[in-house]
Amino acid sequence: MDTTTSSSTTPILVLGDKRRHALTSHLSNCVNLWLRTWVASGREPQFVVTLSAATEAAIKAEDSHTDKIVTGCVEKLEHLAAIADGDALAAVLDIPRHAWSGGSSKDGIAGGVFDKLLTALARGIVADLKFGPWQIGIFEQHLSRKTKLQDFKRGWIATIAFEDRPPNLQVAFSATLVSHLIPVDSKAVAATLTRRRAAIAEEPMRIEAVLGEASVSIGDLASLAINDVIVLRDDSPQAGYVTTTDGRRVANMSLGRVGAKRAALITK
Amino acid sequence: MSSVVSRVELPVLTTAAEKGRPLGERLDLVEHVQVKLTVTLGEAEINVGKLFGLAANDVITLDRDADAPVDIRLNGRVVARGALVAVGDKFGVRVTEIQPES
Repeated sequence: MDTTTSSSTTPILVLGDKRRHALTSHLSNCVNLWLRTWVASGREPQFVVTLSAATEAAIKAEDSHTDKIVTGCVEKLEHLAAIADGDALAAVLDIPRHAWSGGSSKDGIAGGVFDKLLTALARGIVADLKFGPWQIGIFEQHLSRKTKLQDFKRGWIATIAFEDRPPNLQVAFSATLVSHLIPVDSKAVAATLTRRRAAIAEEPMRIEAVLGEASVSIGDLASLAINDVIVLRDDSPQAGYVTTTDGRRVANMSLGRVGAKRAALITK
Repeated sequence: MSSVVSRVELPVLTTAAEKGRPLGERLDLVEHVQVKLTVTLGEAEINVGKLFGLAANDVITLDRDADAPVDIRLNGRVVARGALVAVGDKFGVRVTEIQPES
């Protein structure tokens, strides 16, 4: 099985060679398993995975589709783009239905079965991540040039080319999903930090001790008066926590004092 | 029965030169909206090396006196201060100071 990577554009999310290779390898493994399980059991599947930035040029564009189909795709992709920044998402697209029928173009697979087939692939790709079904979109047609792919910036498109079963299949990834699938190697980062530890160890930073949180309505907040008591939320930890000034929680703590000063005892 | 499904073309919208009357600060429109208040106890300055070495049972002295009021913050801004109290088995804050609007 030959697996290659290519990119003709500069995405906002830049993937290093290692991460690109890791992503294509992951995809290749998933497609291989999917083909053996669902499509071409008993044969050695032959395909090539290429990776490119999710620009308009990266998606095969066609103008010949009916408005109805294009509208459907645009709506789905815009929905995808709207949530892509906040949530991880995989989208399988660009597969004429008849291509997977195993016969002529007249032998189409029933839509429900076809969608389930592709959903199985998309779910396989994100199998190790806990995503809901709504986070996976299926597109069965080429996307039109009318599609606003600029909204899907920072994403990546993987094209899976099958040697004996064209046409190709494309999988769109949001930048967030790429980060989830191919996380930065924390050990490597830690090793780098270790080498530079002496240089950064003296860097001062501020931390903040937080006792807890409370939910109130804006109406209650507006009428807040002296001697009112705000009860901390039920799910607040009995002891508080320590954060960096940008809100990242770094430790749990319990409250105490050192001499006349308030102090935090680190508990976890 | 058949239905005709057609694409909806949305009009292009622009902001007119002359604006209408603003909605105004209508508290009744948002008074039910829940916001998250955070109660902070104080800060401390440590260096990155100490942060990396932070472990259970370490003690960090904060920049506030033990009996100083705690801050009640909304989106990072102090909106009030108060004294720590116990309400049953929960912590609470009795408001002692309301921050004036800046």
